[in-house]
Amino acid sequence: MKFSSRFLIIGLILLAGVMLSACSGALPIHAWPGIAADASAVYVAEGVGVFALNPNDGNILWRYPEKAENTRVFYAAPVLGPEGTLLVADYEGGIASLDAKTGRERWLFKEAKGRFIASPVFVNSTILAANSDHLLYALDLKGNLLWKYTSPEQLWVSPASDGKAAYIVSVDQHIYAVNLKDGKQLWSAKLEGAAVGAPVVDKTPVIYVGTSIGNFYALNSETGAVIWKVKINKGVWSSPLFVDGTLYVGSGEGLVYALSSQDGTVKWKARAGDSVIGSPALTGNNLLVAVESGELVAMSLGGERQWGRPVNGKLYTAPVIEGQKVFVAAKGEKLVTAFDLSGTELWKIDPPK
Amino acid sequence: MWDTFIVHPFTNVLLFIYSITGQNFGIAIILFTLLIRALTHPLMVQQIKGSRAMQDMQSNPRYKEMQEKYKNDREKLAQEQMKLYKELGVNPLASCLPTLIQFPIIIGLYQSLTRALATTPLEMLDLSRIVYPQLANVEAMLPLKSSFLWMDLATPERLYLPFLPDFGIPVLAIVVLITTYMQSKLMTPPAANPRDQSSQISGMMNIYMPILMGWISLTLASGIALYFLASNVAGILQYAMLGKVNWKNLIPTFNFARPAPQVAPTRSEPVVESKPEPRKPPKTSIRGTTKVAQKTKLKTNPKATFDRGKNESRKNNPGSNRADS
Repeated sequence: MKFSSRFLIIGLILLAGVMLSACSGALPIHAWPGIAADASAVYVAEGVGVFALNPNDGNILWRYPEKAENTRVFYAAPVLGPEGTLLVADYEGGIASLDAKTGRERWLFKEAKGRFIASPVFVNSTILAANSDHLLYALDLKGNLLWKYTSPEQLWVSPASDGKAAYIVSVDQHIYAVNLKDGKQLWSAKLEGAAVGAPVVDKTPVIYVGTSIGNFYALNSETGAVIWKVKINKGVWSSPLFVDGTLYVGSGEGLVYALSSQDGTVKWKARAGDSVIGSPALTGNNLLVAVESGELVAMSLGGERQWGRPVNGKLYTAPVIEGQKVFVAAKGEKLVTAFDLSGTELWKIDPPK
Repeated sequence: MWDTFIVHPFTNVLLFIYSITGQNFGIAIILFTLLIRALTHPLMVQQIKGSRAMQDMQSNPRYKEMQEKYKNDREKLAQEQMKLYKELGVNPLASCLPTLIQFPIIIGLYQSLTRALATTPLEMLDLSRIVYPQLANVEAMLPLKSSFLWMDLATPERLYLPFLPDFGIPVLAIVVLITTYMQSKLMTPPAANPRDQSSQISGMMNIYMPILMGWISLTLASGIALYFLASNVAGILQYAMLGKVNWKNLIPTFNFARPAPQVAPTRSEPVVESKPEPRKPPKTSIRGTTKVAQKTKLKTNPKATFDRGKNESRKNNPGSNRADS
């Protein structure tokens, strides 16, 4: 009797613990999947693994790690680099360099203490990776640490670089310019609202970045001074697409804006759907826009809607174009859906177990 | 429904507090916890009164007699107990109902904290969509700055000391474990009969619950652990304000402090002297000593002690119970 009541209580306490964990938002991570592609594979980061898929039929070519580790999850889009390298970053503070063909691990950097929410980027022979532990890490191509820069708050967004400096936005609503050689801060500038999409840098020298409350900036990349600013309803949640002097920006309101890079003038704006969280992508004469509610929309460069195709799941990231195919990663029933450039669906796959 | 009426309002209140406290999320969590505690204070008072009434009733000689008399007939025992409840005006649910009402509030508070922490862009997007339009200035502050003291409230807390750079000390988890233990010990009413099943269960809860809370604090975002800590301290203070805290309750676990032979004479004292006085002023309570004594008794000669204890309590309890009721 005594023992049974003891086991009953222990069981109830464990059950309470499980229920408490289940009702928390801290244990299950809510993040959108990351996707990249080259001619030989589509790479998708979702939960406990990174999966290489055959671009012709969606079959899994390899997965990393081979055996899922519950606490090691991947959401940052994989990044293709020199010599067949694929970089994958996880939520345990690790960056792995993989052979893109086989998924074999070449090296693993494990010094970060927080999450790699955003993808690392290659800048010449340097890898830059922003972590939620407030640090921007600079690595060489073999994964050795070159320097690290500490920002006052968490870093959720990939850095941008013009080859001289790295530009990184922090959740403290600032943008920081850091010397690419030694990681020393060059300047910082206050933004109104947090930037969730990575900045884009052109050679003029200007940085373009939008914030979640709808301020879209053009900043001088040498000083951080504001060149122009435009208000966009319901916020900007991704990077702009910069093509021939025009910035294409998706908005939380569901509109796509075409802005002049010179002065921010709105050339046109057109509705794509309920909400556009990911960046637009360019294919030939069309823009491809992922609408959050689950639709891939093609628009002309003048803003006219060409076609729309439903997707099983919610879309938060930019469509990826490789050759004559378009791939979208969704959060929901189907993880990846492939289309041809005219919008014909080729295949779709469930999230791998 | 749950989100609309519980989680969203709570989250917005939390964000509002954050906005007026210099955008310090740690302070916002503490103030929000205190606010919820203050609002649920009347429920806690009711709960304490209810559990005290139940406890007094369990010391009633008639209650004990019927337990002995109907120990083999549970149905009859339940009927007799209900009669006694009615006769003495005790509502057996009086201590449970306030707890049940508080439970969804606590869960809602916990969920609103995890929502507000928003540790990924998608969580931030979801959070921005539940901010009330009246708090437009709060939306501009997202995501919340999660630095507080040495902690990042969005991640599990570890303190790295200069001379121990590779080992993070989980200070907050340890403090949560200690305060949970303290709270459960201080708030557990003294058992009418420490050997009965409910006393054993509450004794085990006092051990396992702090371990569970410590483990949760160790693994989840430290913002949640900070909430546990604030809630524990607020609970102890509330209890102290009501004059119900008996600090001696913390002592009995150290029963090795007294050598067994010396305990023997004193252990009978509480039982013999447990007339009306012990319950009145908490400071003069000898409950702790009673527990020590009874534990030691069981170790030395369980059966003999049990029999003697039973006789003594039969002899002495009537007075005690009359005084209590």
